[in-house]
Amino acid sequence: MNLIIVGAGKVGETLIENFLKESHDITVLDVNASEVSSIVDKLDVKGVVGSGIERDSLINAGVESADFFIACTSRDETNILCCVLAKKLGAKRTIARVRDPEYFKEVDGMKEDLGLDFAFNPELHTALEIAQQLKFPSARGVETFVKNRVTMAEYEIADGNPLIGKSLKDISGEFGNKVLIAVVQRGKEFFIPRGDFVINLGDLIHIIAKEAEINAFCKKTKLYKRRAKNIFIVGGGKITYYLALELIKSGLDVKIIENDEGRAQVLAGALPKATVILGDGTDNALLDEENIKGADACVTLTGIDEENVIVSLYAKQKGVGKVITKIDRSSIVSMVERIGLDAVVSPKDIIANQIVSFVRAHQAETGNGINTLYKLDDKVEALVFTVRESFGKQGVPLKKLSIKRNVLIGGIVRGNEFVFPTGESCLLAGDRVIVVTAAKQVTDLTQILR
Amino acid sequence: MNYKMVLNVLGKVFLLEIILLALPMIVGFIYNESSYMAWLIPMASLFVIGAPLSFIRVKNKAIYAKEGFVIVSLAWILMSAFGAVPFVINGALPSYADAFFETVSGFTTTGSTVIVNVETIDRSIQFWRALTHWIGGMGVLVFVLAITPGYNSGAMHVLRAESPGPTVGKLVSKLSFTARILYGIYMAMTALLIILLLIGKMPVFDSIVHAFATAGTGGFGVKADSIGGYGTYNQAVIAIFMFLFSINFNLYYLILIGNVKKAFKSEEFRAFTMIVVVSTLSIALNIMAQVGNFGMALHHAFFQVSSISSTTGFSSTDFANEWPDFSKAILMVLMVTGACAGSTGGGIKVSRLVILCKSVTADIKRMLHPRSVVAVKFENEPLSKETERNVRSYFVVYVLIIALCSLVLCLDINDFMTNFSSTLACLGNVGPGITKLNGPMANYALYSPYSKVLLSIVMLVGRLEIFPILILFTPRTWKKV
Repeated sequence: MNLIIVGAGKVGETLIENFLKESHDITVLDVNASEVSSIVDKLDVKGVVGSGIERDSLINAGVESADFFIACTSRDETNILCCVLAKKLGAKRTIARVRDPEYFKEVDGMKEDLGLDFAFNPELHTALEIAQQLKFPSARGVETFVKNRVTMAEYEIADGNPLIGKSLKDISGEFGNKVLIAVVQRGKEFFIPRGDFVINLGDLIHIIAKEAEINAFCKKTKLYKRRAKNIFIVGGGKITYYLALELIKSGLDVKIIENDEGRAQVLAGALPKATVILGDGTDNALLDEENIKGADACVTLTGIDEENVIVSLYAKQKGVGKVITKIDRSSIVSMVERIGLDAVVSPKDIIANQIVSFVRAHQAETGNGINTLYKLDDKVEALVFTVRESFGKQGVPLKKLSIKRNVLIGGIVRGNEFVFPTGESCLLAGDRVIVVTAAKQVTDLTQILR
Repeated sequence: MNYKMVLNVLGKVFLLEIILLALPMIVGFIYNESSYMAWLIPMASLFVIGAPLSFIRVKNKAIYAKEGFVIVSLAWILMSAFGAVPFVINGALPSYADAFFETVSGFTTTGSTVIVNVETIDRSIQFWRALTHWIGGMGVLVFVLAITPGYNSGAMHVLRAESPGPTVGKLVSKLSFTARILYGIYMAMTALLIILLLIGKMPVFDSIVHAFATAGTGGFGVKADSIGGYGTYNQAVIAIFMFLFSINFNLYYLILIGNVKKAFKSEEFRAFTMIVVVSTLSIALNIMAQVGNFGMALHHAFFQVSSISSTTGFSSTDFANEWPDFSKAILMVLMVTGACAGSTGGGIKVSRLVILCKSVTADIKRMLHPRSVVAVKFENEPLSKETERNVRSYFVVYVLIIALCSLVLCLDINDFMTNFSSTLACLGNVGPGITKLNGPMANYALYSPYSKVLLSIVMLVGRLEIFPILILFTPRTWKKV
């Protein structure tokens, strides 16, 4: 497929890296010649220097044959405008980054009037992801599928956990919950476990189930931690705004530390229920004064990665139960995980995942194609498929389907209901199926069958 | 330096050369020549070295600018070193220095020869010389990129180091697909040329060899008098195709996708056409008295101008002995200007000269009005300072090499004009010089082995556009930090 990406910044580059893995033809357009040439040097794409709101440069970039047109420059107005222009010039689908809260409120109207197909807001999506993680404080990571109907959470099996030494069969017998241990990560290896798989100390398990079931299961297995109530946020950018809004909505107490007076004023005005503190978040004395010890969770969201890391380390040291660190440069993420900051969010990765899933979903509208995709690793993916009328094995119980070895049906959503998959369950047209797979390049539901 | 990756790519280049060496061996079988060992020995040694290298498991596939330069220059030097072996074993050129000169001359599409009588050597050797032109014209590593998948990050640095011209861009978003398009156009044009030559009743073998040599803008022929004896039609066909192969291939792609207007708007194409037309007319008028009629004068003038400006080096007549100095001087200027960027030709490249002229004009303007802001544009796009700087330094180094090399050659042969034009012809990848000693009817056998090695290096320097070879021999390149 032909993709045009306007804006060769952080998000643009991450997007290109992700799309290249699926071997699309990509053209990148940016006004800054040196940015373009640095990307062309690194990645196998065509670079065009020019403005996205200029007709000629769009034509130069081949807009008339573009299947997807993605605008992710730093300016909302530019993004919206060049999407409108691209649509006029023949781009099939347009995607724009719109991050300003004022614009994003109007985004539904814009989609209709201006022909935008998808508007993404990295800050909002990051905030939602963080809020999600705060709902499951003991989880290392949380992902939801099919409009929050299915949750996948990642837990570490610590010393003294009742699951240690038990096989999956025993576990389902003993605890009896409708949860599915879909993936086990042991060291650097990923397993899609069968019934006789035994859990060891130090394993990372990924559980798929309904949200309530996961919580119930965690309570029984000592994985549960009390839900965070007091949230400490350092840094007052756009993510903070969206996050605080979301947290306050679900009744949590939020304290924000921001060192720019103007920004602090704006936040205080927009979030009357939050406590906004004016001061330097990297100042330990200030953090102590504001009683960081008493917080259940601390989220570091300043614009500087290093500050986030330092503040998070301090919070950990003070015994804060859940510490989430925002990191923009993906090269740091693995380093930071090594020094004990396990919950890391990276806005551009989150947004790249969103856009890649959107593109995949629209690429395969007709077949039994993928709706969403979540990568656990380069090897293991969780995919959501919609079962179409054309799917041949409808109504056949799962135990009778010959499913490939390293593929697992993680759950089925029928209508609005989550169906826990057993050997007796079957797939019907219209169902959404969550498939966990270690097989490479599953792009169609039929490919999971042997 | 990512040594593993460099060695891995070199291994693939070696394996490719085995396939290339198999082709002249087949030709040898067809013509019942006995010297198949001349091909088997280099093929076997390439396999022994290349196969393990290309199976190295490379975890870190990163190629940066440095690796790109090193891969390209090493690949070219080593390919020539192995490609020279058949000449020695076959006996066509018993001295290895001669054989190396001949092979480098082939791969760099220069076409300078040290073989005294090309008509008596084996057909397989003649075919090998032409094949080196053909593969060297478009580039060895471009070919490797075209046929092997999986070089994603950084392969652009390799393409940039190998392709001629001040700026190198992709035609389409995928690099491997770009390489395939280029080779596709190249093959189609070569095939068309073979057909046209066959129509002109040139023998099949001669047609293929000459088509390969024309496509790569090389200039190795199979006759002592080059193209002189093949009749006016064949000469005209070759002259036109030499011109066509010296135009930027991007323009053919533009024409293929239907953007003819943009192709003809190219500044470089216009400048190049202008150079060719003016030179042809000047020479035609200059030699008219000698040739007798204007038509034939125009024919020979165009053939020689096209041959030299495309840096092929074929000749339809013995211009070195017969033509007046004015015409020869024009040819010498054409040796320096060369062909278009992104073609198979050599020389400084017309685009560089256009950029140079514009940049000098801008400088004059700045001197007149010290506060004026001057925007220099090329092909309708603003010219980056970096490109401008590169072009200037390229020009300076080019001139320095000419001076240095002609100086050293004077220790060997006591005739400045010969040494000077030999240097121009080798650095510009043209082939024959313009004097009695090195003209189209003569050859480079007169030089000593040392001078031949020097000229071989100069040819490589010219083909790879100076910097890759310079970088290879810079100690800093090999330091760890």
